[in-house]
Amino acid sequence: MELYGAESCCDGQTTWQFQVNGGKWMAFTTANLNSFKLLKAVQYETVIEFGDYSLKKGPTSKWFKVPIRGKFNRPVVILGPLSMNGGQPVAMRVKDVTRTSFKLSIQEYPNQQQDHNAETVSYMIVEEGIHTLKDGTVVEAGTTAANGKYTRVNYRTKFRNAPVVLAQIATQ
Amino acid sequence: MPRFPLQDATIFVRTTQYKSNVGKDFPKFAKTISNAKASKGYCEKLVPAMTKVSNRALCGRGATNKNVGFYYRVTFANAYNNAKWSFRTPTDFGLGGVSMMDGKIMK
Repeated sequence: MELYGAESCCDGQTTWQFQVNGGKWMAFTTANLNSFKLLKAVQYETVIEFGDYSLKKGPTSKWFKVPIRGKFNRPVVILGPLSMNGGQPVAMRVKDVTRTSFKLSIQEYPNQQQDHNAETVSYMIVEEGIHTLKDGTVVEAGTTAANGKYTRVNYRTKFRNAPVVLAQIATQ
Repeated sequence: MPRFPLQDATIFVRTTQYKSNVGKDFPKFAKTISNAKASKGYCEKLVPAMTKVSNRALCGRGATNKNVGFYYRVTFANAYNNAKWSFRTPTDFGLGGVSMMDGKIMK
C-alpha cells in the first residue's frame, strides 16, 4: 500500500487504523500487521479433506468428536452420505467445528429416538473461501445463518454453469 | 509449510519539500514524491507505527511544518484467503494526494 500527499502548512499529525474481515479496528503498527502474518503460519495448507467416521450402535443424538487431519484455518464440514445399517431415517448434524476437530451426530425423528445401529458417516471438509482445484474445478465453501424458511445465499464466485450445492446443518 | 514466504510488515515514510498543487496527473506526482531526495527539514524512516506521524514528529529538530510532500509505503502479508482489508488513513493533504494498492490507484 502506498500513499502520496502534500500539504502547504501545518504538518498535521496522522494516526492510521486497519481492519480485517470486519473485525476490530486496530492500531496501524507493524506488530499488528505481523500478527496477521503469524496467523497465516498456522493457517490453511489443506483445501479439501475427505474421510469417514464409524459410529457405534448407541443412543441417537449422541455427539462424536471427529479429528481433522489437515491444516485448515476456517474449515467448513459437510456430512454424507451415511451407510444404512439402521432402518430409521436420520438427520446429520455438525457442531463445534474447530481447526482440529468437529462433532457430529445422527438424530432420528423425535418419535423414533431410540438406539440407532452402527453407521459410517462420510464427510468432506473444505477451507472457507474460493479455491480452484488442479483440474480447474472451482470450489466455494462458506456458512450462512438460516432458519425454517428458505434463505437466499449468493455465491461469491461467478460460475459458468449452475454449481452443485451441498448443504449441511451446523448447529449447537 | 506456508505457501509463500512471509515477510515482516514494514512502514516506510519519506517526506520532502513540495509546494505546488498535486493536480490530476497522479502518476507524475507519485513519481516525484517517491523519487525525491532528502533535503534539510525533511527525512525518511522506517517506523513501527502510524501513530501521530508528522514531518516534525518524524524528522525531529529542524524539521519544517511547511510545504511537505509525504510518501508512505506499507508492505505486509495478506494473511487471509479472500480477506477484506479496510484502512483508515486520515491525512491533511491540502495540496492533494493519492492512495495506491498493489500499484493501482484507489483514491
